[in-house]
Amino acid sequence: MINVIIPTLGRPHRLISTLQGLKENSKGLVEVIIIADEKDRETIEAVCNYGSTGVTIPLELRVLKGHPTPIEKWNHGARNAKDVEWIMLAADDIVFTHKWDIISVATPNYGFLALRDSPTSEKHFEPHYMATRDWLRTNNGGVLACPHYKHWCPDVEIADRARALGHYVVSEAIIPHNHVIFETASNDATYEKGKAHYAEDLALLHKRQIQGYLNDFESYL
Amino acid sequence: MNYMLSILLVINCFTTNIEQFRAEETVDCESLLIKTLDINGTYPGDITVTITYNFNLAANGRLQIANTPAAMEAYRGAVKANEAFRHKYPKVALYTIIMRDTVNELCRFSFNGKHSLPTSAKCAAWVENTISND
Repeated sequence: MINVIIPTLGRPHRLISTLQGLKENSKGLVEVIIIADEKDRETIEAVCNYGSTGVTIPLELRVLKGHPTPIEKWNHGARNAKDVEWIMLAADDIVFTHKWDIISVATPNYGFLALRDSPTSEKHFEPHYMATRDWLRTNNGGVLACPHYKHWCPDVEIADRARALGHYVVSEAIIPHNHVIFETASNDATYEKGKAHYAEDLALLHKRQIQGYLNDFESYL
Repeated sequence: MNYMLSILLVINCFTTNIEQFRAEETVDCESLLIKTLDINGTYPGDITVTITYNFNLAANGRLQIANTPAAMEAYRGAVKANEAFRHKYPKVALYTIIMRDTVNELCRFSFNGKHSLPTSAKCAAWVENTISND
């Protein structure tokens, strides 16, 4: 099973579209945790309405106080995920394609799978990934995403960690990521909010790279 | 304010399985905004130090904590306490500040295909008092 953790903010329509894609294209291997802000009432109501109209995948919505970062949301979801084998760092701007779950789990791996945008992707890292609980415990400090970052770079750090071990494997599934920086999504307030942390997170990444990616945070898995 | 590790006795926040530390190490948790401080492991050897704060340090990262005077003061205090600890026990091989997730979850819903189901009375009350009254 794969626990799909989706932080969301101010994008009810995109989120519902993502959930619909999950419902239609997953083959029974997923559970979903959505993490929303308390003030994001439109999203909360959209998920409640969606969840009340024939949703066929296990779905949970967790509402957090204040304005947590996406990193906090991913980690909160992973901390509370049921004891399933895989945990996925997902988002409300990705597209789940046909049988993505079966194809991913069937990809030979060491417990970490980068989730590529396209068949031709040659990036050093992919912005979304899934890993087994055991792999995260052993190789990522027991967390889904390094909690020191605010928005960016846990994907780079975990990719670096996986590469150093020879564990970096890309899933054979394609999971397009429609993001403003790839010019595959229109800009919105959520993307703008994330951009504010880019320089700070990048500087922290460089510092952590030099230090050798210390596990200087709490393990919760 | 003096933040050295051994200055004040606020023993109820501090636990350890290491006899040498239990005898003398204390920390002014209140002044450092520390909720609990647990030191466990084998001395000399690998020691894990778990500090739980009364504010959401994890939300901002250890090096980027909230820019409030109280939070900054607490962070400086923790750093000085660490330095004192390292100086006093140089054989300690591992010293880790571990941060708790203090994100506050207001409500959780599960769904059965027909209804959205608040999973606690607190959550149901939150829905009643906020969502329903918007």
